Order: sequence, then structure tokens, then C-alpha cells
Amino acid sequence: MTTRAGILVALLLFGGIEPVAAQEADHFLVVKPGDPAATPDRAGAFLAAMGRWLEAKLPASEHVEGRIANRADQAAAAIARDSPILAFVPAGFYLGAIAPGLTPARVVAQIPRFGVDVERYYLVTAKGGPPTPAALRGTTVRTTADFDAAYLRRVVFADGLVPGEDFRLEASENLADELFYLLEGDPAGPDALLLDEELKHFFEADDFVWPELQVIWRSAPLPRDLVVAFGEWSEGELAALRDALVAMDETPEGRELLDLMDSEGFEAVDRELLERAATLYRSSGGGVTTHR
Amino acid sequence: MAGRRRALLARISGWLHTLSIRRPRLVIGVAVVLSLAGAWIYFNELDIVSSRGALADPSEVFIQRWAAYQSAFGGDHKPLVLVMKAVGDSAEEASEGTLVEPSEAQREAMKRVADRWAAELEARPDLFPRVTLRVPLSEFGDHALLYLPLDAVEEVSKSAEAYLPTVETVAADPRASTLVEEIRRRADALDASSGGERSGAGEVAVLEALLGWLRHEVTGEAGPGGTPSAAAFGGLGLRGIDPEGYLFVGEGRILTVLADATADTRARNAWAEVIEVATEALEVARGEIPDSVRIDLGFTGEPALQHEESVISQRDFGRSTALALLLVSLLFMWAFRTVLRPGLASICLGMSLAMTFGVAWLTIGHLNVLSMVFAVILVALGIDFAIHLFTHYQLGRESGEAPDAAIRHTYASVGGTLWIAGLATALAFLTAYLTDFPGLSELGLIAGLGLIVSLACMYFVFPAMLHLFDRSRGTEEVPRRRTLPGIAALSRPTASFRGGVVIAVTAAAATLGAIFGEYTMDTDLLALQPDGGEAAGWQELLLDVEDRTTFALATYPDRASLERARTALAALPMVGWTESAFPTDEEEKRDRLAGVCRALASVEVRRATEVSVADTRRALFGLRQTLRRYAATGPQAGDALAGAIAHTEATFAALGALGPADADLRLRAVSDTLHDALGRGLTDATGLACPPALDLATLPFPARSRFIGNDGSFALRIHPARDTWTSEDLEWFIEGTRALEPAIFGRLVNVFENARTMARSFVQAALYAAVAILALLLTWSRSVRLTLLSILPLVAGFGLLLGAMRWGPLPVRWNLANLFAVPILIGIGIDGGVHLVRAWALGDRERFNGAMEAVLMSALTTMIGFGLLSTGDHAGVASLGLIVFLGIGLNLVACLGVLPFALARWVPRPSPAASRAPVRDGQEGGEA
Repeated sequence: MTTRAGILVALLLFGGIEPVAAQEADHFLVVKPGDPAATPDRAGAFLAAMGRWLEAKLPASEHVEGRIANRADQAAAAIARDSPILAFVPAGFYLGAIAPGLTPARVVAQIPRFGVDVERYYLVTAKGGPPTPAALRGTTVRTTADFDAAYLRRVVFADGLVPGEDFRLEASENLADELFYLLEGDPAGPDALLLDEELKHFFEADDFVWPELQVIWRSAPLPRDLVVAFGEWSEGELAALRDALVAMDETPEGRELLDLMDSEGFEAVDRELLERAATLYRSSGGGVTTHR
Repeated sequence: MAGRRRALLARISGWLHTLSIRRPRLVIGVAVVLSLAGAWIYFNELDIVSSRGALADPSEVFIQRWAAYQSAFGGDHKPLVLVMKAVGDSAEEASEGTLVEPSEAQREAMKRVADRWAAELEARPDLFPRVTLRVPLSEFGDHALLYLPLDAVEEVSKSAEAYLPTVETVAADPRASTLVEEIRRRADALDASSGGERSGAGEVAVLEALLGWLRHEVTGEAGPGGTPSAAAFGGLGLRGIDPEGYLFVGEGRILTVLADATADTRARNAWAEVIEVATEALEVARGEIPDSVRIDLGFTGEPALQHEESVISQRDFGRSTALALLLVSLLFMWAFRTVLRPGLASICLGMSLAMTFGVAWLTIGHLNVLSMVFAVILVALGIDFAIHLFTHYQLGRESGEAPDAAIRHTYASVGGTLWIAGLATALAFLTAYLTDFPGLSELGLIAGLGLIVSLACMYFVFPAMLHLFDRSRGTEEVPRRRTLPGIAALSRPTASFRGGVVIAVTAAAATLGAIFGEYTMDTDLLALQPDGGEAAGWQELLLDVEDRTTFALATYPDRASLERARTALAALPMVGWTESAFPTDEEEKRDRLAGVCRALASVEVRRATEVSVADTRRALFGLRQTLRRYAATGPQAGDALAGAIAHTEATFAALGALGPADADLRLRAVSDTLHDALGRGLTDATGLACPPALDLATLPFPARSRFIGNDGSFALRIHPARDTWTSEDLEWFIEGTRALEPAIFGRLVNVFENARTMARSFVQAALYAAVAILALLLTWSRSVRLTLLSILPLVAGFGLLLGAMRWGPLPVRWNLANLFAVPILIGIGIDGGVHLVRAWALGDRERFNGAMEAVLMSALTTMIGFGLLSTGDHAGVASLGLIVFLGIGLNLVACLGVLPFALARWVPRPSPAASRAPVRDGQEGGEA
């Protein structure tokens, strides 16, 4: 795992908020809701390297800077206000904050990570705890801060379980403590944790913890993080950008960047998966979400 | 009257000339006896003074100051430095000269090696009177922080301020869970990319040390023990300063141990025993390195550098001499179509070497590291005498003369010239005796006298051997051999236009070379060290990070004058920093610490009211995930945090495995220890942050022992701001510092002054030699024109050499090693001109041919010797070889390519008939 992976893991482990800095130059925006490490200080090296790479690939841009946001509302405001040329965003953020918006945006590529080209969510409980999703009825499930309630309800849990109705879904600033309480059977602790692919990957690698847990549910395949282009791009420019992103692993500089993202390379968008998620997202969803 | 004296001289001359023929066995026997005596003296009586200090003039003020300092502060010891560094895992990190942050295991291994090595050396106080393994800050008491550099004090102050919230939090509730939560809070604040960088003395190390302590307390496993405040020492942010006082430099990446070593100045290699014992001790100490730990280690410091230089230069000399002997013999055999006779010349050469040892013992009583070079000079020049003699002897033999007649003819043809040229060469060296630098002065005397001995040997013993050898072979006819290629053409010059052009072009080139050529000198002694030398490599590495062994010294009678001088010196750009018994910038350091002092004084340590196993386990569980998160950011961070994670897991598991009552008991014990340790630690820290007043009476022992002399004087070490191995920066430092403090002394001053004296002495020697040689040649030839023509190759060759050194394809600067080329080149350079001018004046084409051949052969043999030397590993020796090789080559060009044209133009050749007078005993027909 690399620095970038650590940042992303931190995003999901710990809540945190950093405001987005306002600048005038061409820029791209990385959106990582809830990641305390998604700050200009901690992600500076990645943002600078990606900026340099984009400068080389985008003839129209003399200078490209990177920005990062770890709160969805601030990220949405920054897109509307500052007009980035590109954004790297989770699919949920795209569907909730970009697709329905007024800013013209087109999805260029997707970012498979950890060797998995689809996103999934998982419900995990302690061994000996609730063995099935149905057993969670009336219990408390905790997940990371600043989670996207609408996306979870409409897309992730589209096939039955309804967060807020079947179980309480609560955000936690410290998922590690929640995991401890879960394993200890603490009455004040959660009955299950909701993990995304990245968090599951992190805990799965922990021989100390993972053997004590069981996965009782996993979502259907979901779209991965997306690269979104804003503003006036010709088809040729978009195609050139897509090609460059897909070919990123062919140069040492590109491979270093991909290492920072724990990715083996960008790839063309899985339109079918994205369209299915969009369709689900557009349909109305029920349920009530509570935050701790 | 004059006629009677001339007749007497002629009789003596005749008697001497026939001595080798009439009494060859006697001549050889006397020579053997004398050389055996010389050899016996060499092995039993002659002192070899290998100390470089013996080269300098003891009456010099800076030497006397140095001697006075040594008397007041300790003997004349030089520090041998053991240097250790960690070897990284990657190929790049494992390469020589790469510095990597050592892991804890590597630091521990280095310390254990240092301990063991020091212990081994302490068993030999005769060689190592003092070994400085570590200077623990604790020995400085509450004044310790004042002795750190100002920036380190600032770092301490900042780190202490950064840790204050943690100290305050834990002091308010000294429980394991509070401590772990604080560690987690600090771990959370770690920059994702800094885990690796901060390992060692950084934050990660502090966290790991604290967690290790907690693990030890909870599990009861063997561990670091001690107190958490000791574990947290590194948290003060002292990168590179070891809590136990080991001498880490370069921000903690290099560990050094300083062993003051005593040279055996009577040994051929003054440091051989020191290095041998130190190396054996190191081999023993290597046993302390676990198999899984990789560290690189070696010696540097003056003893190691000098030893390495001595060994490699001797190897270079030995290898070059052996190869040169072989090649020269082959050349001799090829040129003269004879196999055994060169061997006779070599035997004579060996005899003259042995006799010269005797002469050295009689005149000076010892050899020093410079005068030992005489042997090389003697081999290079002594063989030339044999070549000139043998060339003419062979000419006689080829023309049908019996051995005794050929010898008589040789004496007649070349005897006088040989003596004049040989004496001129010897004079070139003898005049060095008049110079200011004792090292060079002794070399000049011994080499000059040695050359005369060698000449005498070749003049009398070699012909005696030839006589016996060839007489035993009867009257066999010696076939006439062909003149060497090119010589025949060169030896028939005419006063042609072409000759004029050659002379003009050479004169112009030599003049330009003399005016614009190389005159600068590089005094960088490190650059003279062997290429790839281990000690030199370690020295370079230390120079890159921090060299505490390079400084000038000054002493003062009281603290007031010391402080005045130090303040003024510290402001100089050429001064890096100063050291004395009293800390620098004391007031500023106290100001920097004042805030921490107040804050620490206000911290109150309370007693914990209760402990919670569950809280502690939750805190440990959460901390573990935090550490895992950063460990996952890369392999370097993973390595750095592995220890901390292991401690956390072990403590967590132990608390889970213990029964509730036992776990509670352990945590209460932890609380008590935390409470007590924090109390003590705060007292200690407050003492350090609030140092009491410092005066002569309260000086810490390490400062007093190093900087206060037994005569009550105060020493000041003045460290240069730049690398003083380079001549420019050394001069900048010495001259700049002297402008404020004229009385500085020490090794740096010795190097600077000795280099200057040496350079001046070489110039003096060259001037004296020129005057003496001119006087000798004028007396001999009674002709200004012939004298000038005799020195033409020398002057032209030197001009061309100076130009070639500066503008040639391989630019070479003068340095302290290749300056020896000057007397060698003068000595050899004059030889060819004298022989050719004399042979020309005789008007005999064959003799001139022979002289040309002899000059060519002499030059080639010398060039072979020094050319081989130029391929040596020792940079200084190699540059000496290169310059002599170049100089002799250019001198040869002037001798064979220009001088004949000049002779043809300005000296009418006498008729051959006039020069072919019959040769009788006691008469030099050819040279009358």
C-alpha cells in the first residue's frame, strides 16, 4: 500500500473536514468525503505529481494545480464556484452532486483500485454475532463519517434492506473504536459495520482482526471512482485525455502516480454499471438515516 | 710550478684510471666490504624516523606552540577514528558512501561493536592512551543542554514544547490508557510520508520506545526496562545525539569512536602496530554484529590515512621498481645485445645503495619519510652512469679493443664528462641542503652524496667487473651493432634552415610554457591519498557530514581573554564553530530554554485514582489501527512502525489473556511507575531546562579535562567553515583566522606552514642548484656558450613541462608529492646536455653517436621507472611519476631534437683527427 492508499483508508476510518482552498489557475479536484487525510498538506505530493502529469498531457493548460476536498457539500460548492477542469470523485458523489447539476460534465474514465474493478459494500459482524442481514433487523450498524445516505439507500441497498428501516445506520468518527466495541460485544457498540471495498481490504489484511469477523452481506457491483471533465471539451480532447489516462502505466512517472492511488491503471468507464446505478439513483428511495 | 701540479694530477688521474684494470679484485673487494658495512648499518644502526613531525623545523614558533600545548594538555597523540554506518537493503543504499538512517537493530549493533572495540584497545594503553567511546550528556549534569549547538537547543526547546501537552495530560492522570491515547493522538498527527524519515531518533522511535516500555511492564517480558522518561529522551528531538552519549554524527547516521594513538616513530611505518592492533580488535568486535544486521565499518583519522598511504606507496614503489628493473634490463639487453653485463651494473647499483645508507648514518644519523625517497632517485640516475660508461666501452670493444684498452678509452672519452655531469646532478640535490625545510634538506644531502657514491661505484667497480668478466672470455670478437633507430639521422645535424625553425619553435614553446605554465600548488593532502583508499573514503564521508577532528588551536591565560577571542573568531566567515571549556552562545541558549523551564516547573504530577483494563485495551486497539494505517503508506514506514505495532499487539494480547484481577494489578503498577518516573523525569528535565550558573568551579568534567591545561590555560578549538583539505580553503581559514588571532597552532597550521615551507624550499633548491650547476659548468668548459648549450635541454624541457602541465591533455598541478620532481628533473636534465656538448666538442661522430644513444637510453630507462610509477594507486606517487615521465620525455626531445641543431649552428665541430689522440695510461686523450 502506498501513501495515497493510506490517505484513502484514513478517509474511511476517521471523519474530518478540511476546507477547499480557492485558486485561479486551471485545476482538478479530488473528492474524498470523510477522509481526514484528504487535505492539501497530506495529499500535497500526489496533487503536485498529478498536476505535473496533466500539464504534460493537456496542451491547452499551461499550469494545472490540484485541490482536494473531504466534505461532499464543500466539494459540490467548489465545483459550482471554481470551475475545475477535472474531478476525481466517488460514483455516489457524481450521481448526487454532478449529474443533476447545471455544470456540463462528462465522465472520462474510471479508477479501479486494489485489483478490483468494481466497488462493493460489505456488512460485517463479529463471529457469533448476527449471521445474516435479516438478523440485523432492529440493530445498529455504523459506518464512516460523511457517508452518502441517498446513494446508500437508493443504490447500495437497492435490493431489499433499507437503512433506517431495517437497521439504524450511524456515522462514526472513529471506526477503529467501533470495531473494538463490536469484537468485545460492548453493549454501546454497533452490531455490524458497513465497509466499502477499501476498508474491507484494509481490515481483511489484518490477521489480528479479520479472523474474528464475518461478512454477512455484500452489495451488487457498483461503479468505481470516476474521472469527470467539466466545461468545453471537444470530442478529440476528451478522447486524448482518456487515452492518456488509460496509458498512464506505460511511463515511470505514470506508474508512480498509480502507485499512490493503489491502482493498476485507469480504464474506460463501465457505462452499463454506471447507467444502472444512475437509474437506481433517480428512482425514489425510502428510509431514514441518523447521524451520531 | 703549475706544470708540476698538472703532471701530479695527471699521474693521480692515470693511477685511478688504471686501478680497475690493474687491481680489479681489490676494487671490487673494497666495494663489497663497504656495501656490506652499509647494509649492516641499515639493518642495525640507521634510524628510520617515520613521523611527519620530524620533517618540520622544531624552532618554528607554531611547532613550539604545539609542543607547549601537548605538554599542558597531553601527549602527541593522533586520533584513530573507527567509523560505522548502516547498510541499506536496496542496491543504491548498500553502495559505498551512501548514508542511510540506521534501524534500531543497526544502532544497537554499532554501539556494541564500539563498546567491544574500545574495551579491546583499552588493554593496550601503550598504543592507545585514551579511547573516547561516548560522552554522555549526564556527565555534563544540569549544564548538558548548554553544551549542545544553539540549533540543537532550539530543537530541544521546540520539541519539549510540542511534548508538553502530552506530559501535562499524562501527569494529570498517569494511567496506561492515558499514555496510550496520547501516543495514538501523536501517531495520528504523523505525516503519512514521514514514518520512515522519523525512525531512529524521531517521533516514531519515541513512540516505539514508550510502547516497548509499556509492553515490558504489562507482559513482564524481558525488555528495555528503565523508565518511560528515558525512553522518551529522543522525543526531545535531538536528531543524532545519542541518549547514552555515543558519538553519532551526521544526524545519527554515522557512529564514531576516537582512539588517541601513539606512533612508533622509530618504526619504518610509524602506525603499523597501531593499525594492526586496532584491526585485530575490530575483528573481535565484529562478533557483536548479529547475522541479520548489516553495517559497514572502517578506520580513518591521521594514523589510518598515513598507514594506508605508506603501505600503498611502498607497494607502488616496490611494484614499479621490480617492473622497471625488468624492463630496463630488457632494454639494456636489446640495445647492447648483451645479457649479463646489465646485471653487473645492477650489482653496482645495489652496492652504491648500501654504501649510501652508511653515508646517511655518518652524516645525519637517520632517514626520514622524505629522505627515504633517495633510493628511487639513486636507481633512476645511477643506472645512467652505467649506460654512459658501457656505451663507450662497447664502442671500443666493437672496434676490436681488448677489455682493458676499451676501459682506458672509455675513461678517456667520457670519464671527465661523467664526473662533471654527475657532480652537476649531485649538486642539484646537495643545494637542497641549504633550504629551510628539514625534510627536503636531509633528502638533498643524502641523495646528493648518494649520487657521488653511485658515480664512484660505477666509475671504478663496474669497469673492474667488466674487465674481469670480459677478460675471462678471451679475445672473442664483439660484433659491431647497429646504431639505435633514428639516432644516426639525429646525430648529423647541420646549421640548416630546418634546424633554425626547430630551435625557434622550441624556444617559443618553452618560453610560452615558462611564462603561462603551471605554477599553482595544490596542498590537498587527501587528494594525494590512494585512489579508492579505505581510510581516505571514510575521511571523505566524515567530511561530508561533520569532521570534528579538524581544527586550529589557541590557548588563553583566563576566561575573559578566551571569551573575547571566541566572540571575535566566531564572527569570521572562515570559522565554522568553536569549542572550549565553556559553552558557546550561553546566554542565547538560556533564553531559548527559559519558556520550557517555566512550563516544566509548573507541571504537577498527580496520582491516578483508578485504572481500566477495557479502556487500555480499546486505546491499544485503536492505536494499532492508526499505526497500521501509516505503516501501509509504504515499505519504509512499514519498517519504521513494525516495532511499535508489535509492542502494541503484545500488550493488547497480554491484557486480554490476563485475568481481570491480574490485568488490573499490572495496570496499577504501570500507573505507579508512570507517576514516579514522571516525577523524576520532570525534576531532571527541569534541571536541564533551567541550568544553574556555570563557572570554573562548576565546569563539567569532560569540558575541564579536554579544555583546561595542567598549567591553567584555556584551550580554544577553532573549526573551519569549509573543507580545509583544499589548499585554497586552508589558506583562507589560516590567514583569515590569523588576522584576528596570530597565535593559532595545531595540525592544520602545521600542514599549512609545512606546505608553504616545502614549496619555498623547492624554489630555493632550484635556484641554488641552477647557480651551482652554472658555476660548475663554466669552470669545466671555460665557455659561456658551451655552458648555455649544456643547460639548453634542461631549460627548454622545463618550459615545455610547465606548459604541458597547464595546457596539456592531462593537466596536472604541483602538489606536495610531485614537487620532488623538481630536483630529480634538474639532476637528470643537466646530464644529457653535458654529455652531448662534450661529445660534440670532441668532433668524433662515433662518440657523438654513442653519446646520443647513451642519452636516449638513460632517458628511456628513467621514463620506464617513473612511467610505471605513474600507474600506481597512490595519487601523490602517481602524479610524481607522471611529471618526471613527462619532464624527462620533453627534456629528451630537447636533447636529441634541438640541441644537435643548436650545436651545429653555434659550435664549430673540431676535426676528427684532433680528437683521436692516442690513449695512454694516465692521460685523457679525448678530453684533453
